[in-house]
Amino acid sequence: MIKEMTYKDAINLAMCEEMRRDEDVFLMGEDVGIYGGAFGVSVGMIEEFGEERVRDTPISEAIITGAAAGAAVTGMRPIVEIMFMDFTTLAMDSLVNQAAKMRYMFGGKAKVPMTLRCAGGSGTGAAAQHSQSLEAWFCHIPGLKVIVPGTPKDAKGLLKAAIRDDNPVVFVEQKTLYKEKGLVSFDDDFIIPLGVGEIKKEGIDVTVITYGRMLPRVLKVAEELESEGISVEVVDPRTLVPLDKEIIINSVVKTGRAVLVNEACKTGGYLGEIASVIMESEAFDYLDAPILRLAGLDVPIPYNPELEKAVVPSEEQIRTGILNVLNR
Amino acid sequence: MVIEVIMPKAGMDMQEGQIVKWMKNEGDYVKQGEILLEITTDKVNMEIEAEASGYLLKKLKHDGDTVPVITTIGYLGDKDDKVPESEVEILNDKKEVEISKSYTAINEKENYIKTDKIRATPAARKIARDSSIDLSDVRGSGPKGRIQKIDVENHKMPEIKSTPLAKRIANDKGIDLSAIGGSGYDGKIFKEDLPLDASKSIPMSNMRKIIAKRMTESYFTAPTFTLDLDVDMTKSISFKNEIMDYIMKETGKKVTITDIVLYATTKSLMKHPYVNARLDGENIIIHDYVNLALAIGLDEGLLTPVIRNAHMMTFKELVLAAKDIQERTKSMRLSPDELQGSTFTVSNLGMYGITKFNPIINQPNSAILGVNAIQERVVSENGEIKIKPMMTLCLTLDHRVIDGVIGSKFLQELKCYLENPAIMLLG
Repeated sequence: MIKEMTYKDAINLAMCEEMRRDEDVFLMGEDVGIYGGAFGVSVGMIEEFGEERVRDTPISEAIITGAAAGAAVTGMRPIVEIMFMDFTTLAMDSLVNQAAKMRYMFGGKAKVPMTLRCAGGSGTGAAAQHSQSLEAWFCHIPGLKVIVPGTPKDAKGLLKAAIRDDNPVVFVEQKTLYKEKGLVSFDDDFIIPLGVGEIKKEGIDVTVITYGRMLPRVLKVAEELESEGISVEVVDPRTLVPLDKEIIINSVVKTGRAVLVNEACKTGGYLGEIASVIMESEAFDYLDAPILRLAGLDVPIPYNPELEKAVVPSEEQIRTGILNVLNR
Repeated sequence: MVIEVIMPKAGMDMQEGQIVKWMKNEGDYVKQGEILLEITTDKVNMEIEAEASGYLLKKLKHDGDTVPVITTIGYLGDKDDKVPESEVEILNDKKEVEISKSYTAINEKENYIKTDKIRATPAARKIARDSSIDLSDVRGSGPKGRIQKIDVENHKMPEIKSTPLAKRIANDKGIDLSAIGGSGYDGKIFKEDLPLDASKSIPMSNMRKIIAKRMTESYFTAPTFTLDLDVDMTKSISFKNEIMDYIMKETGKKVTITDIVLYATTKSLMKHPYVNARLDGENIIIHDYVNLALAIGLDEGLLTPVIRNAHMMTFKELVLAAKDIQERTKSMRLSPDELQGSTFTVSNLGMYGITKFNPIINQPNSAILGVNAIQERVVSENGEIKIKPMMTLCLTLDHRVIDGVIGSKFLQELKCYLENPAIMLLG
């Protein structure tokens, strides 16, 4: 069965399905129980699964994440909700030095099947400490997998894959997409494997590689340009680690031009990694224009709503960027 | 987005170009494909179209300025776009960080080392490598002259060049551009080249506009009259035949009646300086030299290149000078100063069989000579009917400077030379 539902409900559905299927799976985080989560993602779950499996925690990201890593090593499959991605700073030791390292340091004898969900991105007027896109930090740590879903379908299929994965996975939800609707499969076995990207729109003139919140924005611009005779291919890697290099390289070989779009700050961001992947690959010889990165400005996200909008790529900037790369 | 307007490189040997006239003012809105300005190279005038729609934000160079090719001469963009400042200022201002559109622009515009290396994309390099094309032979159409894949492909197989407007119309009407020959530089197809409605409105070419302007000016400022005189060309023809082989051997050029007329005209002008004059306000400037302009008709229009100091030339030198300037005019290899500074003009329509016409003075000259076809005509001589090769000379004069008597005397002198070419040897 396929039904239209929101990104938020798709995440809720994925968690519920996995918890019904496997009793080792449980959710913990700040206010995930009775309150249903800061963004309402876990609404109704405590009623179905009880306090034992949907656990409200103290306000300490370090403790929550450390407890999850420990539980995972002992055989549970915890899902942790960190209210805002910005607060992962407090969970870093458990995540980076413990969870990401254990499987390696114990020679593969320990598994850490934990999923850390967090809400990233700006656009809600939540200011500099509640709006960041920090995915590049986690991508830099071997041992962590990183997912940034851009549609309800991807959110569901990828979260289920994350929960079933035996390694720590950082699942970055997009605040401004929670209410976005899309068609989602109700099939319990519908899983999107990690490391498999998707061509969201086929095209021949230029490749735009994007993920997360910028995906709908890019698709809208791509549709507009299509009507003007410019054929844009939109590639969504969906998981940043592992990265589907093949889908990116093949697309750039086809079009010869690449525009990379994300919301995170440009400097040290993941777009630089994608650009390097292209340059080091077969695609280099097919590049017919410099690769363009459209990313957030290197500033803290402003509180003022107009400024907040101004620091991340707008539809207009994406459009202009694409046209520039095409020399139009 | 700010777009640079550059002085184009319209040919392999073009080093610089001059801005003739901006057609738009700063702040004006320009549509893509609209004429933005007119430039002139050392050969031709060209109209430069706007690459994209937008406002003309700034003119960096102005009418009359001469600048090297690929120099930025202005900026197009949105109304509120900021025009990039000069690189020096950017370096000074770099420390100031502000959240604005120009922030990224400033960051990205660094003072890089200049190099002569070819700017080409990896894709262009690969194709060039695979098909053994030397990239230095390829003209880059991308930003900063960057050679792109399409440039190399076009180098292999000539692209169909057309203006954006022509392309759009062709697309709309389903016209195949490859079947059309373009009238622009390098066969570039303009809107005017498209086979549209049979009765169409053709915008005047630049040359046409200049001709129209100058002829109107001349016609409406100078009160003119034309004197006609018939000349017996018997001796001129035999003179030509006698020296033809000699000059051919000496110079490789063929002597024509026109050459003899030009030489005789120069001689006559030195004797009748008012015909070789120009009006400057309330003064008549009498020249002590002859800069002889030849009216040369081309498919595109009319040019009047000048043979300088014709009065100092021997006949042989004049033949060479006339041939040289005719050939270079036909192949459009004249420099702009060769089209200026004439003191008198000769226009010959004889090759078309014209027997009489009324030339319009090439300002600022005060007279122009119309030369016609040589015809065998029946003439009476001393009561006898004879058939002779006759030619009519038509002299149009500016009555402000020259009266009928002076014009007539000049024509008589000229007739005398042409009927007895040997006299010209007397100096």
